[in-house]
Order: sequence, then structure tokens, then C-alpha cells
Amino acid sequence: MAEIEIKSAAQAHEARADRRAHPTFVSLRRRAFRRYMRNWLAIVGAVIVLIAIVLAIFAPLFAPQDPGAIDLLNINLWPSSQHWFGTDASGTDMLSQSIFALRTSFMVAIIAQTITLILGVGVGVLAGFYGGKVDLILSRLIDVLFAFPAILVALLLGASFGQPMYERFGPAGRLYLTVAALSLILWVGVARVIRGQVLTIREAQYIEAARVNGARNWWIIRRHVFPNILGTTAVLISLGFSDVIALEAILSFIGLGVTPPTASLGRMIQGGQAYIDPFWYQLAIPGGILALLVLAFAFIGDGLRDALDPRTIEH
Amino acid sequence: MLGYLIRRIFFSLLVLIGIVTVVFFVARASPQDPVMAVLRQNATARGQVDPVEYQRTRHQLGLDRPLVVQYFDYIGNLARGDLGESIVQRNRDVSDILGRGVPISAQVALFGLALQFVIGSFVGVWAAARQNRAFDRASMGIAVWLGALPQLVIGIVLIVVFGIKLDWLPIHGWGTWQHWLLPITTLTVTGVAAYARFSRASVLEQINQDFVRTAKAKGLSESRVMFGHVLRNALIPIITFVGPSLAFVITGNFVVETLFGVPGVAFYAVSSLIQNDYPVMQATVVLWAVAIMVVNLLTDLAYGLIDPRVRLA
Repeated sequence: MAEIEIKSAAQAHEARADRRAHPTFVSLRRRAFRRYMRNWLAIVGAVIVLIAIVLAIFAPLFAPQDPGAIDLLNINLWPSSQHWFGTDASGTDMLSQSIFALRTSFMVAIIAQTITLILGVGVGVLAGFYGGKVDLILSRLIDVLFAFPAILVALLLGASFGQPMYERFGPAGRLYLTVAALSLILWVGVARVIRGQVLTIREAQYIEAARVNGARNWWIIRRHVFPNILGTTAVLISLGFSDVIALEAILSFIGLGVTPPTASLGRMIQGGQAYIDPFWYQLAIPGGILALLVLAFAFIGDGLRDALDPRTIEH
Repeated sequence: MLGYLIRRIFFSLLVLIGIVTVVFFVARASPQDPVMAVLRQNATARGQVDPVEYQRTRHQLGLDRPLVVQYFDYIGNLARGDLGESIVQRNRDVSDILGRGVPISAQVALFGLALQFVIGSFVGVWAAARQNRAFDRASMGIAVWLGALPQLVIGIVLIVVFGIKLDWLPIHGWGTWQHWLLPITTLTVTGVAAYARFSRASVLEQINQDFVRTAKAKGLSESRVMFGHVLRNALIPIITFVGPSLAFVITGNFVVETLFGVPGVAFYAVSSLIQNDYPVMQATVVLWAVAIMVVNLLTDLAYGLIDPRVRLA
């Protein structure tokens, strides 16, 4: 044990000396960061997401009005200096609704993506690393679920538990159900890719070497497999944010997602549908915000892919 | 080939039974009482619930039998195409309610699926054949953006531009061919973009293979190489993509039918949602599960036809 520590201390010292001797030496992390910053779309994506996160966290500070306030004297007002995003059919300020809707989007996305991360990486590594029967069963499950759209799971859960959850937890119940429906399916996409990667990593010589040295499976997974799938996972998760945000909007639009008074982009679109002609801004505004959010995460994902993919690192 | 066929059909049936079983038990795990839902619909049952009537309704619905019996009954009914009864509209079969929507949804879904496949793979193959030239760069640039946009957003843009600003096309309802254009476009755009990128990558992977170089060195014409050697191999992954792309189409179906008021299965399922008529919603899930299984089976078979290695495996 002590020997290993001395060795790693020596290595660290060597690395420091190396960095001094060669001023051009850049750590992998810094290199990835530089590559990311060279992609202007990825920067735009990150800025949009940061602004949206700040707006979502401090929603009550930024929203000019209560997102549920009904003002029947000011219904269907086009965007103006008074109401930047106009008002809807019940006179509610759409800017305030949009800001609070960001909260819903992020809340659903963060919880669903956390579950997706754990399940997806867990199952993917399990299937890919252990192989054999474990892999056979898990990949069959993945194959079947992969063809199954989240919207059907949401429909099934909504049909069976929508009403009871609402009665028990109120509007939050529908939010939980939406998260559950999305996470139940979306982990599959992550697991599929991770499994494929782990299958190739497993055959690498350094893993063989570790085995010969008596390393246990868990140690190999921690020290060799996880660092190797880190980049892919980061890309998948950030792209996954796009999917979750879009799906939450779609579910709420259809009526399967969150219910009033929870603000949601999808619900705003649903509400504006009856007034689309001539008040089309009622759909265009939430639709535009949705597009911005989804594209922002897609750009971040693409930027991360270019920045973290070791195959594209130039020398 | 026959053995392969039987194996695939058997596996598909197994998965279908699995899905139906999950649907059944999820529905039974629900704390909502179908008997109460029916009684609530009856005007006479307002206020106090008569225990005798409760028992009678429970018996009528067959809920007093053992769970296993109910389960096999349910499977048997499904096999005969009976999807159960609506709770809200008493004495109306679910298949009666959804039935009107099935042909429309099936048309939209099949048309969308086919259009995605044809246009998407055509663009992808064309782009790959002209790698890094103007068409490739332009089409892939557009595909990246369009593919990332949610169908809901595409639908809204189409409605605002073509339905309201230009006022060229109807934005609600179903009937004439003009009604088709916006929903079908909304449904296919994402899929076309995904297909284009996927098939381009698939073709490029084949183009750099040794056998393609050999074919070219033999002096075969450009088109012979492309159709006989590259496409034949590139088509395999493109076809397997049909299964997963059905997922886009199903999600898109819900979006499109709700957004454009197309009276398909999703349209009725969504309206039954408001009344909490859950047998209708559960039946919708089963219907789509069957569609998924059939499409997956067909793609698997097509896969086997194109790639002789698959049959042997």
C-alpha cells in the first residue's frame, strides 16, 4: 500500500516536472475545455441553459406577476411593453408563466436524468462487463423497451395512477408520475450505448493486465471502466436533457403530464390551442422557448462529444 | 429461413404477452375502483352507494372472480380482438370507441413511417455519395437542426406559417387531402432528419471497405458499385432502424392528432383521459404494442432476407 503511494507521489512529481519542462503540455481536461470553447454553438447552448437555470431558480424574483393570476380585463393581449410575452385567454401574464414553466422543465429533467444516469450506466455496465446470461437477459429487456415509446408508458401510468396520485399528492402527484414514466423508458437508450462501449473496453489489454495482477471486478469497473465511459455518459446525459424537456412538454400538452396549477410549456401550448387564430403568439412563445431549450442542450451535447472524444483529439 | 421465421414470430408473441401482462397487472395495481367509476356514471347511484348494487356491478364487470381467471379471460378476449368495455360510456366496447380511430392512425403512422424511410434514406445515401460537397453539407446541416427540434415545435411553426400567416392549408380536422399535409409533415420531419444522418453514416462506413475498392478496381461503373456493393450492405442497419423509428411515429401521432384534431386513436385516447375512462387508455397501449411487435417482426424478417448471415445465426 505504502509502496503504491510513494509511486503515485513520484509519478505526480514527474508529471509536474514534465509540465515545467514543456510549457505546452496541457492536461486532458483543459484540452477538452479549450476544444469545447472553440465551438461557438456549444457556448451559445451553455449560455442559454445557464440563463434558463438562473431564471428557474429565482423564478419568483424575475416573474412580473403571479403565474396563476387571472385578469379577465386583460385577456389575449399581444406582446407589448406591459406584457412582454402577452397574456393568455384568462389574462395571465405569459412571461411569468414561461419563467415558472422553466422550473417544471428543469425539475422533471433533472430528476428523470438522475434516474436515467444511475439505471442506464448501471445496467449498461452490468450487461457489458459481466456478459453471459446477465447480458442475455438485460439486452433482451433493452431491445424490447427500446422500441417502446415513453408516451405509451405515460399513458398506461396516467390511466392507472393519474387520478389516485392526484388525489393523494395534488398537482405534484402528476409531476412525479411524469418523471416516473420518462425515467422508466429513457434509461434504455443510455444502457444500450454504454453496454456496447463496455463490451469493447472489457477486451482491452490493460484490463487483462489488471486481472493478471489480481484486481477484482469492482476495482476494474471503478478504475478502468468508469473513466472510459465518462465522456460518452456526459454526452448522452446532456442530449437526454433535450429529450426529457421535449417529452415533458408533449405529455403536458396532451394532458398526460403536469396539471394545473403547475406551469408548463406544454400546458401553455395546450391552453393557447383554442385561440391560435388569430392569437398565434400563445403557441409560438412557449414553442419558441421549448425549441431554444432543446436546441441548447443538443448543442451542449454535440460540443461535449467533440471535446471529449479521444479519437478526434489532435496532436 | 423457416426456422428463423418461426423463432422470430415466437419471440414476438412472447414479448407481446409480456407487455399485455404488464398492462393487466399495472391496471389491477391501481387503487381506483372500476365499480365505483361505473356507479358514479349512473345517475341513480348519486349519494349513497347501495351495497347490493355494488356487488351486482362488481359481478357484471367480472371483478369478483379470482385474479388468475380474470387474467386469462383478458388474454382470451384480447386474442379475439375484444378490448373490453368503456367505463364512462356504458355498454360501449372500447374497440367501438377506438375503432373509428384505428384506420386513420394506421394510415398516418404507416404513411409517416414509409415517408421517413424513403426520403430520409434517399437524402442520406445521396449525401454520402457526394461526401463533403454542397448537397452533403447543406442537407446534413439542416438535418442536425431539424432532427433536434421537438415535433410539437415543428407542428406549431407549420400551423403559424402555412395555416395562419399564409392561410394556405386547414389547421384542424380531417377529410380532404389538404388536411393531410401539415400533420404528415410534422410527423415525418424529425424522422427524415434522423434517417438521413443514420443512412449517410451507414453508407460512408461501407464506402471505405476493401470490397468496394476491389469493385472499383475491377472497373465496375460508379452506379454498379453503389447499388450492388455499397447499398446492399448499407441497407442492413438502415432497415433495422425502422423499428426504433416507429417510436418517433407513435409519439408524433399523439402530438399530431391532438394538435391538428385528427380523429385517430390518440385523439380518442386523449379525450377519454379527461373522463378518466382508463380501459380506453389501456387498450390504446395494447394496440400500439401490437403495432410495435408487428413492425419489429417485419423488420427482422426483412433483415433476414437481405443478410444471409442472419438466417444462419
